[in-house]
Parts: sequence; structure tokens; C-alpha cells
Amino acid sequence: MTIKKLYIDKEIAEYPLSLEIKQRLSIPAETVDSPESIFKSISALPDPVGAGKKVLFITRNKGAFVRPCPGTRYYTCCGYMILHIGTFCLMDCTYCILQSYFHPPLLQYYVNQEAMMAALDDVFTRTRIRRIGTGEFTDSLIWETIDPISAKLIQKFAGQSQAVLELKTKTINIDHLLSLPHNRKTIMAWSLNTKNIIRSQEGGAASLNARLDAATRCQTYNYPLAFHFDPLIVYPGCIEEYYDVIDQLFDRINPDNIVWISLGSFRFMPDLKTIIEHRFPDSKIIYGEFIKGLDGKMRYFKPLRLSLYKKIIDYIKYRAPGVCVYFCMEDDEIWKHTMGFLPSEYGGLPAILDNAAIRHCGLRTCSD
Amino acid sequence: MVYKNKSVQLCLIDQKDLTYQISTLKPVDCISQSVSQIGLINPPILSPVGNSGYRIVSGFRRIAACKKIGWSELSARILPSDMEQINILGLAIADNVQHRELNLIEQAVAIEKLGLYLDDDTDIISYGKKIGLQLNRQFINRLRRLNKLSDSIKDRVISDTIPLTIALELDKLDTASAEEVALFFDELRPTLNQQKEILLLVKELARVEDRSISDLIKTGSIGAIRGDMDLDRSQKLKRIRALLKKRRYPAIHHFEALFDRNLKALELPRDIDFSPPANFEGNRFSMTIFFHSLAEFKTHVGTLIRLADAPHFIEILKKQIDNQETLY
Ligand code: SF4
Repeated sequence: MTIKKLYIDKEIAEYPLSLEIKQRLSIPAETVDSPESIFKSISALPDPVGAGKKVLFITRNKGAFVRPCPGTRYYTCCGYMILHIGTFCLMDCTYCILQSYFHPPLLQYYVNQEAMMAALDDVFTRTRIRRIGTGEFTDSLIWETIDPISAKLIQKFAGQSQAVLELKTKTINIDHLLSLPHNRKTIMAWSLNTKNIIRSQEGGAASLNARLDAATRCQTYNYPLAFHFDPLIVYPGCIEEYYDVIDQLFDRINPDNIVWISLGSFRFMPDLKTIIEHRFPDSKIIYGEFIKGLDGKMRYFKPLRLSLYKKIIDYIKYRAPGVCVYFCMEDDEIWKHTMGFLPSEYGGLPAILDNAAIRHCGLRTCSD
Repeated sequence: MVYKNKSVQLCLIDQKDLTYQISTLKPVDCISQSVSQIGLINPPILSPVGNSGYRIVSGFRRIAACKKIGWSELSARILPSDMEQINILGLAIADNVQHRELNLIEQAVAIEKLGLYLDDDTDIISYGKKIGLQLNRQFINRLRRLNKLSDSIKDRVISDTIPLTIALELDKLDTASAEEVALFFDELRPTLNQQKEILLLVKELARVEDRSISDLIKTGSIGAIRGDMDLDRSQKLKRIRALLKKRRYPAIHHFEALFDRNLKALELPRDIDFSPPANFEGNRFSMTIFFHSLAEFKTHVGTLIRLADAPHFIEILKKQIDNQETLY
């Protein structure tokens, strides 16, 4: 998807970054008093989600830049923090939860980066170790041609040892990041899926091969890496295809350089189903065997998840016995039956991941 | 309203002109009988067309009845020749509304006809109010969609075999599938909730199996059950629903069957009630024991203790699906 129109919030229209973005994009631009009229016109279109990917609204982040990842009490959360640089995405994955998360969904980018840097400075002075990512409400690397924010953040994080930045992506926009002095305080992370799913469900995303190529290059430049098998999608033949992805991963990437690998199966709020049905009539992923989970999201029937996870974890462990694998939002029963232990036996999931970050990225608390 | 009462020759009335027809009522037999015995109590309303012809505004069935019993003329109320068409239509609708509650299809027809003269829905709503139609925008949209359906589906809406919500779902299907589902519901008469469940299952299953809904419910095992002369309607319905669920959710079905087998193998006494978590999603299983005496209590406790080592019980708690290979 390409951005066709730029809307600039009047409040930040004269910010140097706003002017830079305007010049860099060189597309029709309009300064607006408030986003209401943009929201209204997008909402009235037959495909507001698709339309929201073609307009960019640059504005000020009026809320917190650093926020806790929204977990629920029923499933084990990893204690991750989100750095809120912008919202939505230029790619178009069928399963993307952002389609029903924002009303209306719209590309927004925050230009008050001095406030963001101040929020980070605050995090860096705390005693708690933090794992912070930009890839929850957007893809971490789609903004680089508009504003190389990741490059700025990598350098910012390189100067401290309190927190680690995770850049999570399905793109390969890494060239300008490779030679930066990162001090291993940035983890370059890719979401992985089978070729079949990438081809049919991840519109505009890089191929598996390209993602692994990019990861290999980052490894050469000594970046720590992470991978996310999320969403795992059940379909005939999927297990063999996930094994193939795991093989390709470990054929090219040194497991000792992987900070963590996460697993999560496809889950969605019920209203996403209608959106997927309308926007992607050829996609069958919503016709899996889902039940309503304890948090109200649709999830694969638990025995099915147990069986799927067990196979994938066993294979990852076979290829890379020492690698840290964790679940995104699963419960103790899943952990116990598939991993053989509970996070609480090791101080909880946040502690497990903090330790992985300490080991791989050289984090220290202020009191160390 | 100023009418002119007049005796009109039946041959001058164009019965094929349905411009103002709203009613979906068809049989005229009972009316014919009453007209031949008592006469016309309520004369039809006609609107003059051309020099000597008439168009029916209200009383389509009464006129048909008169013709059937061989009358050559009847007394009628004639509207002024300069009356505006929208007002004639309004009169036709109001006349029906005052006699009985319009069914959904009649309301849909009324909306469509009003739409020929009124530009937008706000006008239709306010005009409708004057002539006794209670409308709102959402309802108007639903009626419009209903009106697009085939006559056979509309007939089933009139006869209450297919409720409005289901009819509107059928509107989203291809014509052949909509017809076949309507026929299927007509045959087996499922309740509204069953219709909703079946419709969702067949829609999703057709997507999963890359076939049309009509093919899915007309042929193969479902077609065979429908055509089985040895089964009554409720047996067919039960079997088809079970079959659809099994095909749509094979792993869940497989697991539930396994759970039932394991539970049966435990041979729990009737006074011990074992329940898994809803959808097997949570971690909390529950066991309820009922007892009347200390002796009975002790017996149940003994059973529970033995359960802890029973392989079938352990199997249940593991939530493991056997022969997993087939699932992916
Ligand atoms: S890459 Fe991520 S954020 Fe972008 S569309 Fe896909 S799932 Fe959504």
C-alpha cells in the first residue's frame, strides 16, 4: 500500500519533523484542525480499513509514549512495554487485529518525539529492567522511509543498559540500520510463518526467505535477534510446513544469538471475523475450530492448541535446545503440558525474558 | 374522501393492473361464497383510467370473487379522476392497514411502491405514519432486501416458515443456495435458533470445502438423510445437525467423543457428577458428590481416591487429542 494523502494536525504543522515528512512524502497534504473530518470520511467508505492505510495523519501523541502491553488476567502476560510511535500499517495481513482495534483504523504518526525521548530517559533511570517494543500497534520498520525513527531509537538505546528495544517486523527495511552503533541494546525481530500463510494471508509483507536473509545480515552486524511464530495457523499440512520454517531458521541463524522465540496461535476478537470475511473473501483462516476464550477472544480449541504447540516446541528444542521459547498469552496448563514447567517456577514470565535480555544484551539494573 | 358510488361493469375493470395491489392474500373461495350469499358489504375502490376503464385500488379479491360467481357488474366507489397517484396508493395501503395487520411482504411491497413517488426515506417514514405504517430507516432497508428475494422465499416468509432474520441472511447467498436452504427449512421446519445454527454451519462448511451451499445440502450424506423415507422430520433434523457440526468442527467432535468414552470408562456412580471446564478452555474441572449418609460419603471418597490413578481420568485431564496426525 502507498500513502496517497497526508493530513497534518494544525498543532504540529510547524514542527521541523512535520515539515520534513511533508517534503519527503511529496504527496497532496492538508492541514486540519482536528482529525474528526478524516475519521468521518474514512468511516463512511465501503472499506474503511483499506482506506485508512492510504492516508497518513501526523499529529502529537497526547497519551503516554511508553505503556504496558494490554494483557488479561486469564493468560500469562510477558510484562512487555509498548513504545507508541504511531498506529496501523502499510501491509495488509488478513488476520491483523489492528483492523478492528482502532475506530476508524488510520495511519497515524507522532511527531512530538522530544516527549518520546523524555519518556525513554525516564525509563532508563528506573531500577527495573524493561523490554520495550514499537511493533504492537504498528510494524516497527514501515516508517523508515517517512522518518528513520528506528535509527534514532537504536542509537538512543545504545547509550544505556537498563532497557532493550525490540523492533518487530515483517519487512526487510534494515539497510540503514546495519552499521549503527547499537551496543546490542536493540533486538531485531521477525514474525515468521509458513510460505503458504505468508503468500496467502500477509499482503505486502516480505517473503520468508527475504526475512531470514535480513535477519542473517543483522546477525553479521552483531544484532541480537528474536523470532515470533505468531499467529500460528492451523490448516491441513501446517505442521510439516512449520517444521520447514524452523529448519530454514536454524540453517541460517545461530541459536546462541536468538534472545527469544515466541509462539502464539491465531486469536481474535469476534468482530474481526466479519471484517476478514468482507475484506478477504478468499481467506479461510476464520473457519478454524475456534471457541470463545476466557478473555472473550476466539481461540483454537485448547486440545488442538496443546497438540500444535507441543509439536512445534519439540521441533524447536530438537534444532536449538538452549533457545528461550515462550508463549504470548497462554495459561499455565499450556505451559506445563508443552514446556514441562510453569513460568512461576522460574520467577514468572517477565523474569524469564528479563534474564534472556540480560544474557544476550548485557542489561544491568541501575543498582548493579 | 369524496367517492362517487357507481355500478360498474366487470369487463371495464382491468384485473391485471396491479399498480395498487398490496395484499398477498390469494384464495378467493371463501369470499366468493360470502359474496354470493350476502352480497358486497364493502364496495371496492376504483380509479378511472382513460375514457371508460377502471384500475383497482382496493378490493382485488372481492372483484375476483364477483367474477368467479358470474357477476357482470358490481357497485364500487370511484375516486376523482384528478386524484394524485401517491394519494391513491396511500389510500390503497391505508385501506389494507385498517382491515388487518400487514405481513412483512405486504409492508415491503408498500415501501417499494411508495418509493416510486417519494424521494427519500424520511418522506416515506412521515407519509407512512399518516397512513398507519410504523417505519424507521433500518426497517425500510430490511424490507427492501426482503423484497429482492424470490417469490418462493417470500411465500415462506408469509407462511412463517422462514423468519425475517433468516430471510435477510438468505439474501446474502447465491440464488440457488438461497432457494435450497429455504426448501430445506420448509421440509424440516427447524426452530429459529436451529435455522441460525444450520445456516452458519452450512455457510462456513461450504467455504471450507470449496463448494456451493446448495450442493452441500442437496447431495452427499446430507442429501441422503433428507431423502431417507424411513426417517421422520425430527430424526432427519437431528442427524443433519450432528453431521454438520462434526464436519465443521472435526477436532472438537473427535475430542468430545474421546472425552465421552473416557468418562464412561470411569464408571462413576450417579451420585458423582464430573464436569470439565466450558469448551475445555479453563483449567478448573469440577466434581460434585451427593450423599445421604456418612457411609455413602465414605464410599464416594474412596471412589474419588481411586480415580486419581485411573488412566482414563488422567487422560481426560491431559486434554490430549489422540491420533493427532490426522488433524493437521
Ligand atoms: S504486519 Fe503486523 S501490523 Fe502490519 S498488517 Fe500485518 S499484522 Fe497488521
